[in-house]
Amino acid sequence: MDSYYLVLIVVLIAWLVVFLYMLSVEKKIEKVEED
Amino acid sequence: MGKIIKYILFIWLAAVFCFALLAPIPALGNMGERARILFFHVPMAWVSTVAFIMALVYGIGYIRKRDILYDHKASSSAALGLLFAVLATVTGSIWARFEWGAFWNWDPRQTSIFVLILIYGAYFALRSAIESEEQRAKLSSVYSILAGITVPFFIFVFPRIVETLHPDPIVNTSGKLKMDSRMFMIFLSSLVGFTGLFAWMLSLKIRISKLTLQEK
Repeated sequence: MDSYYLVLIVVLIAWLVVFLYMLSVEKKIEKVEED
Repeated sequence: MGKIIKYILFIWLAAVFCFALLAPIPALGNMGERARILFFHVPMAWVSTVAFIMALVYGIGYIRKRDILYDHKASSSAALGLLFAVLATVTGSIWARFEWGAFWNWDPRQTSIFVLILIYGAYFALRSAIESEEQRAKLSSVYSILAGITVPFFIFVFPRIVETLHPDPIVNTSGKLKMDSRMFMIFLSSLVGFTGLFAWMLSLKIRISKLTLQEK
């Protein structure tokens, strides 16, 4: 079961990175759109 | 897409990953714990199918209206479709390594997704080979329509008409759902989550395309 938790942590971290990256891209787009 | 929806999507998919990896699941044939790949692999394949079909629809949109934005939408959708097709292939190969003993077996399902990756790889090769924007839009729209027509055949028809080692699809030939109700709920939630992620990614790519067009 320990390996399941390890995989879950890796997947969640990967998802968090993707999510934050997408938010940052969106922020940049909004900035350019406003300009 | 509203900001709250994005945060809901984040929590939704995080919860799906938790359930997909930790929730107890019943034995599915002789797959055992390996059946958990279903919660990741099938939604990725589903999203790639949706993306390729959307590229076809946008291709038709360009042919009808001659609006360059449709061409950008088609290429954005095809690019995301290609990304999710590769992810589905990778997750499927990892599963195949443990289930069938090798990462690649030229199973009809593997062959059909491989052909689709080649078809859409060629779409981007075609786009990069044409300098004139209008010519590129015209040719690649026709190509995306032709490629989109082959998608249902490679995903739904071809793997069903030849012998395959691949487990029965969700909607199988007998028309029965061979899945525990709890597993089905996790699977459906994953499907919704991945589709939402695709919608968000596509909207970002389209907004970038619009800004690029405005700059020109």
